[in-house]
Amino acid sequence: MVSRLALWPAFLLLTACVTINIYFPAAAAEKAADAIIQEILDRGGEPGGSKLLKPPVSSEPLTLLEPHSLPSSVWWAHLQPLVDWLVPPVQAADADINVQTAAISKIRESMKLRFSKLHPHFVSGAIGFTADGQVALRDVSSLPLAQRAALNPLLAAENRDRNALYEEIARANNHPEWEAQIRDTFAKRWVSNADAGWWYEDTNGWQQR
Amino acid sequence: MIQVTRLLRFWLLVLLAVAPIAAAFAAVQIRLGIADAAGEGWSAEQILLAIEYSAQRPSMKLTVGRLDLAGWSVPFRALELNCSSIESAPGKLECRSEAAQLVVGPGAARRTLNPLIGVTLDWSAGTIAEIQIDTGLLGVDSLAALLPETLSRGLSEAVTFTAGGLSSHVAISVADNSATRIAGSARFQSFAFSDPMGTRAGENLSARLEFDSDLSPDELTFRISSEVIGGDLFINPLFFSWANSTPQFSLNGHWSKVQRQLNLNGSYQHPGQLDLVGGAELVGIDDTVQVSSAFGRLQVEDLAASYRTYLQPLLTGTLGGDLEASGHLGARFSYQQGRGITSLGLQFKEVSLVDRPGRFAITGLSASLPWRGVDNPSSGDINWQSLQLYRLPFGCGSSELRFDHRELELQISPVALFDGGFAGGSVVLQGLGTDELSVSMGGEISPVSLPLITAALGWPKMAGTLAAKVPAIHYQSGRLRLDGGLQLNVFDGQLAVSHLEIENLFGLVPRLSTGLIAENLDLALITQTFDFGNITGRVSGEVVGLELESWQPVAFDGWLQTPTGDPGSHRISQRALDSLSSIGGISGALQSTLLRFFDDFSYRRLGIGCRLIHGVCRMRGIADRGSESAGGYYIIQGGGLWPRIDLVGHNRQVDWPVLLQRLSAAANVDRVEIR
Repeated sequence: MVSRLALWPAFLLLTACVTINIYFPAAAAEKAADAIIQEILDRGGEPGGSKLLKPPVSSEPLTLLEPHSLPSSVWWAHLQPLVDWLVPPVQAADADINVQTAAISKIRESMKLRFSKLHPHFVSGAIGFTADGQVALRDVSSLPLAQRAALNPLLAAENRDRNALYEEIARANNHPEWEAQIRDTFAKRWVSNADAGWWYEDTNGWQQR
Repeated sequence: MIQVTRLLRFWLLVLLAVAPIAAAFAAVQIRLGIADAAGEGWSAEQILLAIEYSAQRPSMKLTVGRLDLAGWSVPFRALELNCSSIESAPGKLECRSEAAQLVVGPGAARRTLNPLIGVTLDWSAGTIAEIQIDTGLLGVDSLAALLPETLSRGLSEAVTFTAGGLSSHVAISVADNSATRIAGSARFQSFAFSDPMGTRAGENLSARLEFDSDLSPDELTFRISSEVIGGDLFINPLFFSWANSTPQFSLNGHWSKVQRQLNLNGSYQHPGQLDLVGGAELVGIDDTVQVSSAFGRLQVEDLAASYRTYLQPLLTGTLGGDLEASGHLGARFSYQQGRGITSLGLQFKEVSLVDRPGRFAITGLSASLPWRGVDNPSSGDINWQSLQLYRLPFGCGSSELRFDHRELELQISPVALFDGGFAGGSVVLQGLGTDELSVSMGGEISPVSLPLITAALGWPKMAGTLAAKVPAIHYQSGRLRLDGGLQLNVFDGQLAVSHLEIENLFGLVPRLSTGLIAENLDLALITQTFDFGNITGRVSGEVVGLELESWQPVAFDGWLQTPTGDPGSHRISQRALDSLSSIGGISGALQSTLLRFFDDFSYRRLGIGCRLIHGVCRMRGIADRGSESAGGYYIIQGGGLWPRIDLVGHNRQVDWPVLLQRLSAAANVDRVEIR
């Protein structure tokens, strides 16, 4: 009986659920987004894409070992060295955002080519940036009727590229679940990189830079 | 209305009554003034009726200083009705007003209208009064002032009218039994409107409209028909430019107050494009309106034009958003409350759908696809002239279809693919009409010549055949998975494809993963194919974890080597060695000057491996020469007859795009793109 009890800590040790939380590298993502956006907007962004971008020094630790379902913190204090020895702490994952894949390059190229067609419509306010990192029809009243309809396929193609871009960046960094945060980052950076007079959408509707 | 006519009738009867008296005199003038009068939904002030009974004809002038109607906050003013001559016959009186006048609108928006109004009172045949109004041409501002407030406010919140004119003729008859008939026609001329953002706008819109309605306290019946004459209309995302072919529509309805039921029947015809008819029965229960049944039928005469006008704008951004379409199609549906869609039918005749980005194409498609509700099995058929998936062209084929409870099963006839074909094909679609649509298919690919396939795919030409027994292919949410494997008889050996999965099949970045096993491929045939010089001997190996993104390899671990105990000759030509060396990172023992005088060399075994991760190929050979970190690795180890050769690779990390470039340069082929 006593020997069985003695096995408990070992059992707990093996079944303790270890969660590895990797925080979204927001600053690195912003820089990566800026580089891509500036390249597409033809503002002299690095054409090859940002190399691995360094996270700011002040960023949070990127990995944590969190014990779950342990009966008390006292036990944990004693067991931690042993756990560390059995399950070596995961090295802080690189906080860089990788944007260098064939798929991403292809999407960037396609967006860059399309931008010259979109540019006059950003300037006229016919289209604008949406809060979810896409582009949408805004005030098309300055365009002849026949040209208004022709904008839709252009926007659909652009949004298809944009959705794929956010998804591919998340995937390229082995965190498909980051897609929403990457989309969010891009949504903000598109606006920040927009020229004065261009339109963007926020919770209060359309706003002008 | 009733009270107005009664009032009129009263005064006109007075007029008739005084006629004999008046006849005794040269002329009689009667003036009647009423300070105010009111009825349900209206009130009027300063009513003045002047009747003049001269020797020839009676005349009448009615003026109303102010008329308030329910629904209009701005009163109508200065209403004037002049009957310069009143025609009378037994049981009938007729007044035509050439100089009627009406002032509408508030303040600066005030407009004076001069419609033509005729009033006939006829009590001989049951009708009490008939009023005919010719509005003349009314501009948009007059119309805004004339319309009931809720309607004009609702309209102006949605859109602003900037140009246009409406002329209309309205006939109102009021019968003794309170039945009223309103009929007439209207002509809209050059209307222009827009919402603030320009996403709903029209320019130069002209149309004709005819209407007829019967009102009684319990019932309303109406018939409206209209024809567009011309103009441009943009209702995002649809754009119509009507010049030659103009659409017509009609709407008939019947409202029963007792049953609280509205029956509607309508049609929309766009000559040369499509013809749509439909109907619905709506029932008002408490404060809500419910559709108790509905039906619709669509005939598309010319899919090419209809696709461009109606379908393409709605399908933009989907798989069907960029097609060359042609042919005819028909569709129908019926709906019943509580049962949902009770039947659906789709007919294709000589339809061709060609995806412009080149992902698929089908021509000569004829099909009858009936569906009689979830609980009723039904069957149909489909046949086609040609079918293309990416660059693979399949021949004509046909299939029986069976619908049963959200499941569709197809038994496909044998279909040609180059000199082989696809036979015994069956497809099962499950979860129709739900989010969990899945497709499973199986069949057998009978041997197809690889030179034909590789040429179609734009790959380097390969000798051999492809054959496969496909136990099952599953497709769900853009992900295609192959159970079982494909067996390729290629280069006199065998190539087995297994664990094939394609994600995002029709998406922007399709992602394919698979594994390959190669057995006893003839190097002589391979090197001939790729124009690489000559190597004789056999080679076997495998590629594990092959992943393609947008049909480009991004990861794999591949290994090829001379199979143990390979009995044939093992020779490698000077040219093949040059090609191998030119790939880079490889230094051949060939550099020694003496060896370059020989055409080919003998080798004992060869082996080369590459593990591709993150754009870098980690190379390996049959054996290391020297230490793993500092030394090279043998790609070819010499042996057998003299002259022998060793080929040693030094660079263990090779940039993949560079390697591809050098390979294609060495093999004299264009950049390999797998499609």
